[in-house]
Amino acid sequence: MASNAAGMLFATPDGNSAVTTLRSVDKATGNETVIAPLTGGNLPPIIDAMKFNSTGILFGIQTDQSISPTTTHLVTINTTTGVVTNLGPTVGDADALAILFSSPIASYQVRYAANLNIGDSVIDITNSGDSSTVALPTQNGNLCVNAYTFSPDEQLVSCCACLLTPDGLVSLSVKNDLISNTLTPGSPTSVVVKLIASSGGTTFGSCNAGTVGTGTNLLAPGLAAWGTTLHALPGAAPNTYGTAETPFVNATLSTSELTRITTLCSLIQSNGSGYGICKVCRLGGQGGNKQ
Amino acid sequence: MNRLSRKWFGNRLIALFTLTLLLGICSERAFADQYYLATGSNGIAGSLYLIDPATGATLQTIGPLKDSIGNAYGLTGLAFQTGTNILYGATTNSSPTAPGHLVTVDRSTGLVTDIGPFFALRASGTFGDITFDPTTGILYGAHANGTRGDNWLYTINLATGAATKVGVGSRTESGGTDWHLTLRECYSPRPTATLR
Repeated sequence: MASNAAGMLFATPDGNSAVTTLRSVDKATGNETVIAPLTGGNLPPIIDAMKFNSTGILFGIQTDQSISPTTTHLVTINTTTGVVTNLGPTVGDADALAILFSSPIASYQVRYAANLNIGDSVIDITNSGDSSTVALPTQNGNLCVNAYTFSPDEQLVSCCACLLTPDGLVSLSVKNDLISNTLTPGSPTSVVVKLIASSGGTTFGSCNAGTVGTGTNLLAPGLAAWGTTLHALPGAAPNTYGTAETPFVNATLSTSELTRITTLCSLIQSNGSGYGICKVCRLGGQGGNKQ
Repeated sequence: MNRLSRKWFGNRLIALFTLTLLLGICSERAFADQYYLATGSNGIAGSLYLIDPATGATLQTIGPLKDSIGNAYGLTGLAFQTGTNILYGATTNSSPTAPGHLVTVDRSTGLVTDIGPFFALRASGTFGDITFDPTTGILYGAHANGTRGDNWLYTINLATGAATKVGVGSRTESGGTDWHLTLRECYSPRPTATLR
């Protein structure tokens, strides 16, 4: 059984039948609808396990149901036609398949900002709409943008979250929003900013950077972010700085990293007496400027 | 464009093409999905593997599916939780330890942590496969008793493992058996070759 990115369930529940079929499964009733018979690959086309990869391709483990160790093959399954394509033999007796999306499609992005003692850096963020599954009359796919700001010595100095609707544009000032209310006194002159997009928000105030990865506040695709930072200009007069703007870098979010930053953020929320909570996003974009 | 210019231009085109190709390969590798397989049917002690999605070949045998005190497990279903990347598993009905249970699996070692049985009031019963709905975070399991008309869809409680039926299911064609995975794994006390 497998679910695609839109939450549609697929199954191949025919077992020992001469003809097996790919079916969709209604999540409310459990009823199945035949999509197509499975053809191609190796016979019989019995699928022991299947999962979608991050690009929407359905992979399966095809078995001959022989005496252990069973002969199995890794296959792909066309979700429209049911055509099975054999990729090659795989582990005997394989009965379970899972695919880890190493890059959860732009849901975790990282960037630094430097020379904050010279001037501000800004972050512009949009929701590309990747999480949207309903177009009309009201589009869904809101994102929570969860921001975690670290000082150079790896301390989480602030965290906060804001709601971002599809195609919207919001921004954060590093000096005025992210490090103006740090957990501990003093403002770092350079920081690392980590952004995580999650699906937990429906209204302003419903996003929580301390609960990402739990309940319905799960990682979601569709985050795109850019940031500026100041650099000393080579060859120019001393103390002359220029602004460089680059996209945030997509990164792989490990379970331990997610657990650590959300736990620390939660501790800040509960024990920081209001310190360490950064300001919410500003509507609209900003450009870099020297103060 | 003279001959020398064409050669210069051609060389740079080749270099640009090569660089683009290399960057494409590198970026694909950097963000490639990882494909995990688990064994454990037929009552065997299972193992966790990392495989090549292009060929099905084993890239790495991660390790045996064992808990912290060395008990062995066999798995019939695996699924990564969206967002946390926690790997959940469904043990087979013939698993050497905790048959018919929801477990978590450490994807770097194969270490299994038992959560609980799917059906507390039954001696057996598991799911042929499990999958997360990424839009809701709900874990689903496909279950059947091998009788026509008895395909069932369940939701699974991540904290306890308890399964809750969400529908009666349906069957639209004759012949064969339903949800063959669960027929083999759920309702044969010790699946053997004759059951296949």
